[in-house]
Amino acid sequence: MKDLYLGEFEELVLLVVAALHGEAYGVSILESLEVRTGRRYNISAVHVVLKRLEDKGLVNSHFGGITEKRGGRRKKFYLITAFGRKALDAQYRLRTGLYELILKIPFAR
Amino acid sequence: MKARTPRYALNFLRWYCHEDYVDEIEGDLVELFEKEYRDSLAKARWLFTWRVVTHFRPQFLKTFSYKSQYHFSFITMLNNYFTFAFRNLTKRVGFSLINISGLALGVSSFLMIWCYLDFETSYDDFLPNNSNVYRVIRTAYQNDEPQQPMVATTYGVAPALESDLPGVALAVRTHNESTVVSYQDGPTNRKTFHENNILITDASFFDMFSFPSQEGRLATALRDPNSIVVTTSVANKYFGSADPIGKSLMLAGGRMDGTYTVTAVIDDVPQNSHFSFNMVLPIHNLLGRGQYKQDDGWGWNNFITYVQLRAGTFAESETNSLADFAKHRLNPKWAESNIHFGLELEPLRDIHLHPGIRHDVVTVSPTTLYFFGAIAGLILIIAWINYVNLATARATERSREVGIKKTIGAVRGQLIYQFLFESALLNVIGIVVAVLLTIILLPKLGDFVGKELSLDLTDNRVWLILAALTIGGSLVSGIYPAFVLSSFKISKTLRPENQRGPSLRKALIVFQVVSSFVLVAGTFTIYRQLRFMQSRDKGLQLDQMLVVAGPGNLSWHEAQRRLSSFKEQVLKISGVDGIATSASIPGREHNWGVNVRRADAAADAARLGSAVWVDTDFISTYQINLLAGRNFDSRISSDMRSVIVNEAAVKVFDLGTNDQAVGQRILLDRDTMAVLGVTSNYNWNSLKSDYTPFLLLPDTIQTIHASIRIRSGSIPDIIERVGKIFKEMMPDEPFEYSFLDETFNVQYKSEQVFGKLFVLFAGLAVAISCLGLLGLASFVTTQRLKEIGIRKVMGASVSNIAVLLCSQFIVIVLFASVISIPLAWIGMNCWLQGFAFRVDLAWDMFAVPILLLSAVTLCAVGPIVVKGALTSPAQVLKSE
Repeated sequence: MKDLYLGEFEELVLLVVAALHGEAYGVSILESLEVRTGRRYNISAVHVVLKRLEDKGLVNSHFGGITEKRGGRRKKFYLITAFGRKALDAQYRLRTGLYELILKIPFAR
Repeated sequence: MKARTPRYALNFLRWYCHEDYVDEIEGDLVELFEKEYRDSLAKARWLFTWRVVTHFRPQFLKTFSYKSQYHFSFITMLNNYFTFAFRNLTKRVGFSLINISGLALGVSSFLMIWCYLDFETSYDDFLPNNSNVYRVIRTAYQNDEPQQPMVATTYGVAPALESDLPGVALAVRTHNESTVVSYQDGPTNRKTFHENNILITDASFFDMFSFPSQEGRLATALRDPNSIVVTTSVANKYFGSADPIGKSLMLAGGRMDGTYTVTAVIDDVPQNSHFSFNMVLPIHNLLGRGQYKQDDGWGWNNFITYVQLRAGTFAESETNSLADFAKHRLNPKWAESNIHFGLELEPLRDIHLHPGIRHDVVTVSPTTLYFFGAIAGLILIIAWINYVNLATARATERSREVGIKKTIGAVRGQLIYQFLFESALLNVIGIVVAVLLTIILLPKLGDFVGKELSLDLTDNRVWLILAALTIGGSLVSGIYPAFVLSSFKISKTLRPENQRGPSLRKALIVFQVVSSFVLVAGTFTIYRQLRFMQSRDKGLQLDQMLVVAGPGNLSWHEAQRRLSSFKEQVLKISGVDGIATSASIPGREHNWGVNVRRADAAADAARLGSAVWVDTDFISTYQINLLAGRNFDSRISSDMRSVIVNEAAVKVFDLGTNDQAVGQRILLDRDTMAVLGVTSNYNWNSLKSDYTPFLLLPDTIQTIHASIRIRSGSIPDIIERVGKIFKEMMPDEPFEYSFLDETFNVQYKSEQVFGKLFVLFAGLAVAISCLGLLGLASFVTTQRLKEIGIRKVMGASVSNIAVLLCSQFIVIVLFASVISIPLAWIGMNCWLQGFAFRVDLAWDMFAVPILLLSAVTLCAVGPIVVKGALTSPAQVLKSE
């Protein structure tokens, strides 16, 4: 687990892929991200991160069927792998662990 | 209706994107676009493009390599291209023939002109160390006004240059002489010829010019004053197959009188040399005799001086030391006439390409060569244009092929390669034919222009040119058709609509016609000018004039005595109108270039005039018009010390009116003479130069030329009788004659060559253009067969249709002609400026080419069009 590092955007994308549960493909991921964060992202950034996550083995992908929409191009769906889940868990533990330290400290004013 | 995504952006994405990602990326982009375009189409399109650009990253790029794109191996594709090219070639044999012959003619013309240009620029290249050898050119400045530069110098110049200028390694002088040469072969057999190309020179001549020697040592060949070096052909002429070394040749008459022993034989001087001698003699005897005996070496300008510089010494300083040299050595003698001289060194290899020097050998102007270079380029372009036109004309036919290929999966690049390959194949065939044509035709062209031309296939430059023509021709002629043909859309090609001919094709035809027009109009002008120069009244009689060379073997007085009775005898022949002897004849050099002024004028008023010695019958025989005064009378002794001048001389020497001029005394150098008569102007030399001041000096008999004016009638008979009298009077002399108009017109040789080449290549250009028109006409007609059929059904007559089809070609020709008239006018006006007497550019010089080109176009196009118009509507309308 040591050498695995998730950047902030990578982590967000991975979380969205996990949350969308089999409905995750480029546009849906982008839209969820934008709704949740309230920020605008470029789709190319999403594609790059997805490719990177797949190369790291954190997600799997498979093509959907051909539709009339999208210029006849298939959707590429992403699913989080067990390894991806582990990485998210590790990240989560790290953050909550750190977060719990905050409660014991009185707020400085 | 659905909004379209930006096409170029999408194509770009598809072009760069790896196929593993293209579905995802393009799909997502399109999906986003579909969501966004309802708000603002422009913004959505812009966003789409922006996203495509931001996806252009290494991760998503496909691998660009030939192999992954095309699955066929290169060789297989080549095979396929070849098969298709060949099938297309044989499918339309006529078309291919037109194409190939056009290309072959064009390339062949180009090659022939190149060979000609190469020959003209190769003069004196064969001489080793030619880069260090220079000819001395002398320019006289009269009252600081430069006169025409001259090659002639005095014989003192060469030795003085050698001793005064440290940069000069060697200096030699040459002098041309013509005389009668004979060889006594046994007691009875004597061979005698007039020789006009005798070179008299220093013993070191062969050190400077290493002509290849056949026999004998050239280094020492001219040491002995009575030695002679001959060329192989002269050796054969006099000695046959016998060994020439040690044989004796007799030179008779003139300053070289004596017996000379052959010491060496050299190869004939090649044609591409400015030298044209066939005998070389040492200068020693010449300088000891005649006018040169009294000369100190700075008087008579009858020698050409060549210098060889020490390697790398030609510099600014050399020019200065030459100026110094002229100042100290040449100027003092002429100071009182207010004349000074400038000297220049002319590189040996430039001599042939540097016209405008007085008394020079035949030269060719570089402008003429550029002219031909331009013509070569034009013809080549015309030929390539033919290919482009014919190939694109077949577009509709080929479009089906393109459509099917594209449907099966051909990429555009492959189609482009295929069409380029086709043009390469045609070009290669054309070039092979062109080389064969050139090999066959070039010697004939050489005869035509009087040069020994041949295509030297061992010359690397020839192969380079051929390679360049093949590659350049394939690309230039192939690229446009390849792109046009391969660009057809599948949907369009399989259901052909009536395609408009691209306007580029018309523009190209216009270019062809313009080029042809300029060449044809040029030909007309050149020929008109030549005819004008030959037919114009020159102020003296040149036609029906038989010129007999005077005796060379006899002493001066003996020659005069015998010629005098020869004259009497010849006059008795019926049909002979007059006979005169003179020291020069029209078309040849004058005898004496002399400074002339009025006896009472200041020394610096002297102007150059040309003097010729003639006998008292000269003016009547040549029918020169006497305007004032009278002709020489041999019985009045004062007449024999006077001079008859022409109008130009009266004007230049400031003698007043013609009547005032008569009786005035003028100074010829230092001799005072009275003007006896004034004649109208005449063209002693070519009409390229204006009238010059001319002086006729009297003599009882001159022994160099006898001119006989013949009334038309049986000329061969008269020649025979003249010859008989000549042989009776002077049995040991060769009887050699010529016709004055022929020898005079030799002066227009370079113009004639120019005209001949021009007419040839103009013809070729027209022929190639016609081939193009022919092909195009046949194509257009085939295309419009249905239209013709329908028109006929509706009641059009054959002639209606023929006129309709022809008119479009005629319109193109007329339009092109209108464009080219100013071009031709400028070009021809420029050429004509080189002539003092020239024709005016008349309207018919342009009208005739227009008519000619229209007629030729109709001839090329007409039969095809008529054939098309005659086709029965039933044949063309039955299908579909």
